[in-house]
Amino acid sequence: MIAVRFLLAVVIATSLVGGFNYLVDPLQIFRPARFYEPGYPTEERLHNAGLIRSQSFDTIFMGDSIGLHLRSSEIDQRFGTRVVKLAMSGSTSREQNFVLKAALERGPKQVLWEMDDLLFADVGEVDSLPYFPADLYRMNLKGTATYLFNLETGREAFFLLLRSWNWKPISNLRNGLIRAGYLKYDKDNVDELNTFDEVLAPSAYNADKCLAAYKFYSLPENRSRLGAGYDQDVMVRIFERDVISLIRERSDVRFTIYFPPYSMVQYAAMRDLAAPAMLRTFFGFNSYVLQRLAQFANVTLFDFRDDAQMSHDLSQYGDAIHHSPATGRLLLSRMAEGRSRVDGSDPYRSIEQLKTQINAYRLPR
Amino acid sequence: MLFSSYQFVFLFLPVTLAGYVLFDRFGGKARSLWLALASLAFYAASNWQFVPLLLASVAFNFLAGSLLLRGKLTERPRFAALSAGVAINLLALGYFKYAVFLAANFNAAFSTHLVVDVLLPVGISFYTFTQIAFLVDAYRGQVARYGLPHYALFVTYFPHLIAGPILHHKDMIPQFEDERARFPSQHLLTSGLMIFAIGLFKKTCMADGIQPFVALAFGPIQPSFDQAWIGALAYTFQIYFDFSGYSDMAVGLSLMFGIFLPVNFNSPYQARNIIDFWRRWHITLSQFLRDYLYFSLGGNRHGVVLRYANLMITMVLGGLWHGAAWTFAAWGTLHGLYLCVNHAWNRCRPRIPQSLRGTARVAAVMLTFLAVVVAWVFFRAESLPSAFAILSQMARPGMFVYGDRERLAVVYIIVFGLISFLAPNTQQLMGYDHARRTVGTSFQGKPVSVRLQYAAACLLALGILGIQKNSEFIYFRF
Repeated sequence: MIAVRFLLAVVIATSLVGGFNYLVDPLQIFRPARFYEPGYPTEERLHNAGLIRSQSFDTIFMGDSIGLHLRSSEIDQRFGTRVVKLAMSGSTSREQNFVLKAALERGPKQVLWEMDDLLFADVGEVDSLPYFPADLYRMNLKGTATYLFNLETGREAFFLLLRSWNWKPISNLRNGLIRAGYLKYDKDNVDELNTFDEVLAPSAYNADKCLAAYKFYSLPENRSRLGAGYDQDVMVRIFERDVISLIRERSDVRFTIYFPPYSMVQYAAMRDLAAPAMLRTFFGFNSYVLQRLAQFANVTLFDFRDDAQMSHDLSQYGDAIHHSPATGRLLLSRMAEGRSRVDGSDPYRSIEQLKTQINAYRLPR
Repeated sequence: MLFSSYQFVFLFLPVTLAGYVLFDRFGGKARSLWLALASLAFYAASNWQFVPLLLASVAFNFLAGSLLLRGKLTERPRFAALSAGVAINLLALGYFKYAVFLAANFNAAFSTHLVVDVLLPVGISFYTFTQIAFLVDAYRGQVARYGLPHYALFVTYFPHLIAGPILHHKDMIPQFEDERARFPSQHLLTSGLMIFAIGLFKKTCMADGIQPFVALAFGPIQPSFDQAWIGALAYTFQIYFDFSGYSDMAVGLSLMFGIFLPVNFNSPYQARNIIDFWRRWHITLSQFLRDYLYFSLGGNRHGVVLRYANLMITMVLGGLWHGAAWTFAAWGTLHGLYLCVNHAWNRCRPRIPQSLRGTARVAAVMLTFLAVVVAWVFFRAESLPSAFAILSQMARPGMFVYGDRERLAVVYIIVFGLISFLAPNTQQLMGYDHARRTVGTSFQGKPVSVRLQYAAACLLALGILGIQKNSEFIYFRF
């Protein structure tokens, strides 16, 4: 039975790699790292699957690229929490809902959620997103097998183990392979994941960069980008499906939701360059969202979009919408102090103020 | 469905093999029918919307072939029937493959705004060529009468359906018809598995492994001198291991069903000249272009000038067969020029002294390889200006980056180069002889060793472990 012997050899070889990957478990989806120094991949959708299982936390921080650069330690310091940061750049509410549900199974009591109107894009199920390892979150047979019986997992596991040896040539080799993009588990500290080097902040966040976004949207070929996918009915449906259903389902969890400030350049572009309906949709959708969220007892709501001190300071933006880490820290402090909190009896106040500010705003020359 | 996918390896293949064993008890026709149905299911799994087109193509060509074979037509109507048959095949291929390209060029030339939105049915280039060959041979009287089930299986046979090899009816249908052949022995099954293992490893571990470095030259940023060379060389090896890996998998899969497919690659980067290269690279396409296009144009029968003209036409059309883009036309033109120069050189080359033959051989292999690399730049580039920009960077040794990524890429290129230039190929390792229908005698004349079997088992394991989501074969696009 030559064929049987051959197949048996294949099974043994595959199992050896699978077994090794299970023992080391570089993503820490089965257990936290014990006999080696853990490493974490920068890719949020991948490392989140491991963080959910390897970290101990009582609060989840969720958001997109706007909130991504915050450090868990900065949040903990201000709120006295033990946060796991699961924010994902370019994420939609559908992805966030999926990841939140997986993380809430670990029993945390609070969600700190950075939210903006760009989340509510009409995309398919998470399983249809080629870059999203949904089965790894579900920990089903397919997800587990794809993780274990995988050369890439083995490669990362092997080099994480070698690192524990603490031999300089090995560590140089590993660093070189990380820089070459061959190894992906490049961060040693969870708190460092997707944070920003403060030294680089002045070159990354400044008024020139912020104003360049206006010029970008001014080009005829880019104008349509401003209003792409901006349909109030669709956005409301998605918001109800991904946000409201979760808040209602998990009434035992406190949701602290905040809307970060865009720069005034974004609003000026929406006002001057997009179709007139866009600003109407923006106000209409956000008014709906604020009054809807204000109805829930387990929601605490903050809106910083009318905070002129932040939104008018263009030096703190990397483009029209992404604020600096310093602004992020300022937001946290203000939330901790209870400022910019939306009053349930008057949920439209911040949006009305923003309307006035947009009408009065003129771009600096 | 991809050969290098979990669905194929763990579901489709075992089920199809089990069905084949079961239906084998009811005779050759039953198992052929099962295999044809399984092949349609294989195609439908990812291209269900094009199944009617495939079936229509099979039915049309079978009827046209029958007319040519059985119809009592005189010469002129027969030729008209052949012409109509070939034209309809080419029109279908032209519509699905070239309509968007033609519309874009028309728009560019006449400032119009024609919008043509046509999806390319996977495998259409391969099954159209296969069937054109059938019609031409039917016209030439070189075809026996085949039954529809065997003909349908010949066209739809899943190991070759999507990306070749381009099969010849005379080679394949008698194998399907052979009633004496029974479900293959353990020997064929194991040999097939081993060849499949080598192919899967080539694809998932080698081609997909080197693929990220291709972007160094072909990415959005203008490459430096070293990046341009690294990217071009990386693509040179990626396309070889991707396509030859696919072809090995096709041969191995077919062997599991007791059917011998022709080999498509024979260590092409070891070629000593471009003529030799085309005898080693995508062999079944080269043979098709030679037999049904180059010879039909007159081949070398009408003097040197027409021979070169025929070579150029054949290669330009061969380039365009790969895809509707000027880059493919440029690639074909370049290879046509190479072939003309090669033939001209053969007519006037000086005698090389015995003492220099070894050096000359190495130089010839390196020069051929270099010419092939340059041509691949056109094949891979997004546009002609982009190809020229990369080539100009390759010719400008001023700017170097040579960072960690580039250093790692060089290691890959050296390893892949050593394998391509020095290692025996799959058929040599496995003693696969398509013409004699034998396998299992290694290139040193000995039976395939147990050690090699275990090595192949490890390769299959690594191939499975290396499977990545969303990694298509390059030739699926053609």
